[in-house]
Amino acid sequence: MSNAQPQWRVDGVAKVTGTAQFGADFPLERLAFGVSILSTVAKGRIRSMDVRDAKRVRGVLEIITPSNALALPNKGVHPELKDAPQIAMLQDELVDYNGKAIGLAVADSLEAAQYAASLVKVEYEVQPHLCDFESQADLAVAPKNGGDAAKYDRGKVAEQFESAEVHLQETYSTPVQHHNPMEPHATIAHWQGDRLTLYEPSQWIVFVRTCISVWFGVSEANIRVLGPYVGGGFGGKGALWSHSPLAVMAAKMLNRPVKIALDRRQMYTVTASRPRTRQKIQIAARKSGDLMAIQNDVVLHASPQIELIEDSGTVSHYLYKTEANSTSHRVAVLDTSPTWVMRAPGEATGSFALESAMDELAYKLNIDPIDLRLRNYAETDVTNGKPYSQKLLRDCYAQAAERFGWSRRTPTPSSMRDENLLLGWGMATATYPAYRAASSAMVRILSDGSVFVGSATHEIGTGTYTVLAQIASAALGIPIDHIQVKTGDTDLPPAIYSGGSLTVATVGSAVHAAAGQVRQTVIEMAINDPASPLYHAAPGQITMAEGELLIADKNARDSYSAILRRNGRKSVEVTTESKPGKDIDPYSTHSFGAAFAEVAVDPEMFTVRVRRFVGVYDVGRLISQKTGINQLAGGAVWGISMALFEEAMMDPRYGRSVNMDLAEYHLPTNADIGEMDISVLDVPDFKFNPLGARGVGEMGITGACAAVANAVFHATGIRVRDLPITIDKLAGRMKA
Amino acid sequence: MKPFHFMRPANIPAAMAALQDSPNARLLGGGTNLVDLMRLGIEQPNRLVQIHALPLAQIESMPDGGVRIGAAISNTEMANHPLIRERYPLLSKALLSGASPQLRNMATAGGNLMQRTRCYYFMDTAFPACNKRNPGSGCAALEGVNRIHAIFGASNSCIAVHPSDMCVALAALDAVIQVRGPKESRAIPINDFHRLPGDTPHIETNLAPDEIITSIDLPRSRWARRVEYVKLRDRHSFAFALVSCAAALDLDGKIVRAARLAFGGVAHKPWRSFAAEQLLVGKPLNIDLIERASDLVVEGAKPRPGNRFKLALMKNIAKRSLMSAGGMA
Ligand SMILES: Cc1cc2nc3c(=O)[nH]c(=O)nc-3n(C[C@H](O)[C@H](O)[C@H](O)COP(=O)(O)OP(=O)(O)OC[C@H]3O[C@@H](n4cnc5c(N)ncnc54)[C@H](O)[C@@H]3O)c2cc1C
Ligand code: SF4
Repeated sequence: MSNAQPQWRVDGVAKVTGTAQFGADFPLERLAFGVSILSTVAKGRIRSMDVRDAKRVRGVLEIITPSNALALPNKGVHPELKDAPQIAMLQDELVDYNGKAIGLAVADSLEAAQYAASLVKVEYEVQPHLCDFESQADLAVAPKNGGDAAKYDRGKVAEQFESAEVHLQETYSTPVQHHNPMEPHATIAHWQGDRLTLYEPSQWIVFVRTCISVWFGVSEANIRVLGPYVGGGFGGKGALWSHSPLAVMAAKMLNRPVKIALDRRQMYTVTASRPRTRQKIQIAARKSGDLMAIQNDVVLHASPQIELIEDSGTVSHYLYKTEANSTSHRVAVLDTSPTWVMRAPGEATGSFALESAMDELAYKLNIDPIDLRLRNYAETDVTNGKPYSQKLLRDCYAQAAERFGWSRRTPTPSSMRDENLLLGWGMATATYPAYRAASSAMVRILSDGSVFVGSATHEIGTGTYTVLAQIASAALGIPIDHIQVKTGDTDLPPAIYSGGSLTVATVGSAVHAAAGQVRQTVIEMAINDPASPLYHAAPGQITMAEGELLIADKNARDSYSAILRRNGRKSVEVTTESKPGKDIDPYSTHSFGAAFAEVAVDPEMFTVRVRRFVGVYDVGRLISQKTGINQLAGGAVWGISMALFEEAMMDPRYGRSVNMDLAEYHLPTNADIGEMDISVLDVPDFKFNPLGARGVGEMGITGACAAVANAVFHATGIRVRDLPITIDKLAGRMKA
Repeated sequence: MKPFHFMRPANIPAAMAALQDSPNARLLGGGTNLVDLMRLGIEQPNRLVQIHALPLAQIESMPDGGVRIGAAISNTEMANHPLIRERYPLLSKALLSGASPQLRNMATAGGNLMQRTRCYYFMDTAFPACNKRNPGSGCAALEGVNRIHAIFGASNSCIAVHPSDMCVALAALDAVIQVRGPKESRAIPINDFHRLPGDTPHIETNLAPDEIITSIDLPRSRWARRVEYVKLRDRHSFAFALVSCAAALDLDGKIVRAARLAFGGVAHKPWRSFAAEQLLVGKPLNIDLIERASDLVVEGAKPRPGNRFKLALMKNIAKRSLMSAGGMA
């Protein structure tokens, strides 16, 4: 259980009353609406675009196509922007996937723009395309920028396999999945002279500014990016997609603000997806259950726009103690929309495969799956020999097993029943690295005792406003309702992307440091102020509470506002950068957890329902009870979803997925999710950072997926290695 | 979407006139299907004639003990109406297994009958081949992703299924669709209402473009009480049926006097399994009989590689529905 404060979201009221402004919610005068025109072939060139009918629609302002688009420096191609996928900016006639933006209809109403976009007649010079992962997977090549991901070797894998007593080899695959944030991507671009304001729900506004600056040849100083609320990103809002530069371009061409909001179907091709993966896992073990070597050879797909490696193999480098380890990632480049990072890229897919394989091995060896994992527990980081700053995975297994009631499990498949239903109990390890980076924050206390906290980080639904307010509140001893937090504005001190579950550890540390310095400054003022009850006190004696500095046993107290006023100060303000220091170098930093699932399978209807899920995680100190548990639970729901539901079904003949909407791309409903029991150990990891807090954002999706897949095997005796586990896959193999 | 005229006639003659003098007019019920299709560019009517002001929003008991359901009644109201709950629980259950409460609040009885297929290729105009959307263009689903498609009554022109849950119950209850045309009113038995695709998959029902559905009539029936509706889908709520089954039995002691077995998700129309029904009639209901009937329901099926799994589903769901309807589960 957690000691964290059950603080409500500080932005909760704004969100439920609709005053929180998301990307598309900025009413500007003379706002025009842009609707993207998307390609309907997978590869070729645009021969012609007939815009005559479209232009006749009442209210249409412009139809932008490659033939009249604003010419951008270097045609928008800038390899130096390594973290940005190459996206469509209408600089050429090339079509390299189905659903790519090839034009923009702009009108003074959304309806007129939509209608006009539908009237543009496009002729293509069609070229043959390759979109069939199955047929291309065997031809996959080493990634260009693969580094360790291309090939990783530790120890002598071949030797281990030769002397192995037990050898397991299985192939697991995961489908294309989409980010599907609740808030669709939307951008508003507003030029005032040569200054640009961009309203962009983004996970990385500072990088948005950089990209737009480079693409349009405008100084960063002239660009302000605003995104105070982001309705979910999951990685998908960590890059810019074509609608953003097109809004900037259209606003420039028309000299009025332009908004482009993607509709749900457009999001599937204009933005990005998690790549398909196919993982061939081999494990060498002794009959005792001791692992000798793990090998994972991964093939994933990529698009021509960017070579993103979902490094599914990496999990096997460290999750268990082995003598040797080898992984490779090869890439099948398909003519599809970009692939991109999505919640726990690598760990989500990789832990599904590895943790399924571990379950298979446990059955092969007739060992309890928890015992197999404990037997191979990696006390230290086997990739580099370093100790972990903190690793309490044993406690996670033990607590989760206890809460779940694992000891009552009978391991034989189909041996547990509830009337006509087959019950399955499965477990898996959850894992995600703990990252921390450099970011800045500003903390300002005013003479009325109120506090302003600002950083160009992001509230992506994760609870950033709440957590930063809690951190500032604790550091200053000022009640949370006196603290105002602002994010999502490039005029604030710069911060890194909100990804990799690092925001609290990174920006939280900056806020903690800045608030500490503000406190120190005010303490200095007090102890040098003869009018203060704290005059000449030793700084170490002073504590804070309820907006006051005090020496409790002497009953001496002085308030922040009184100290500032007496010193003639309107405010005290500190901006500081915080980053990991050398003291972390001796350690590996990582979070772990244990995920347990119970499924009920109807042996005649082949339906699977997750009845119970228990997750216990070690994430260091949990700063915010509500938003932290909410993140972990949301992640676990996504893991369940990955196991049972999510899949974009590509029709390779057209290079287009057939289910690009929420009616047919299935996400779980409430009816699909049973009881969720999520908890954390809540042991601070002060070696990692001064807050003792590691990230919580991505962890939950790992573990949950394999736990469900393993539970399905336990219920049915059928191992589905190709996600998602749908009715048709079980129906074909189950004897009723 | 394409601009259109909106009309809200207050009586049927006015609605009829509005349909007649505009060949590309459509009636608008709750709009939960039509408006979506308009947004997607699949339907492009130039006139919408909304039915809500028409006198079609009653549910009434008929002299024969049956019930008449006005075409403009919402799916929610229909499902929860005491007359339906009491006399036709099968219909209630089928309706409540469909869509979501929000959609059911909007969707009308007439609109549900007329709703169009959810075939992936039909729903996305970027796919060039769909005979239903664009006659003569081919059928992308034949060799494409067809896990949700038909295993009965399909043709080489189209293998789409009718997605409705309500209609499956109506098929088991021998519903009759009352329609009003410019010249006459007529009654169409549910089994003749939807068509198989043949070479004209774009013509989905036997309703003429200038006819209006006024009501769904449910005759008094002896098999409307021992019933079950089972729906199988990819998630436990808010998804269309992969296969669904409506079973209804009339028993005389143990002997089956009449039986109805209708399936959703397997054909271009609600699919009655006449052979299985016949097998059941006149025999004592027991597990053995139910299993034999269930084996019969897949006879003559022509699955595609992507939807072969529906065979096992169909058998099992028939068995479960019959067992439950017969009070044996
Ligand atoms: C996300 C989603 C999930 C769904 N899930 C399910 C499900 O699980 N099961 C299920 O059964 N359904 C499901 N539906 C479909 C839903 O049941 C239909 O959309 C609804 O019943 C249509 O009714 P409506 O009144 O909104 O029709 P509209 O959209 O208004 O009209 C549909 C058609 O009916 C015609 N029409 C309407 N009234 C009349 C009339 N009186 N006479 C002649 N023609 C008429 C219209 O012209 C139009 O062609 C789902 C829909 C959505 C969007
Ligand atoms: S099955 Fe019918 S609706 Fe689907 S693509 Fe073929 S013709 Fe069109």
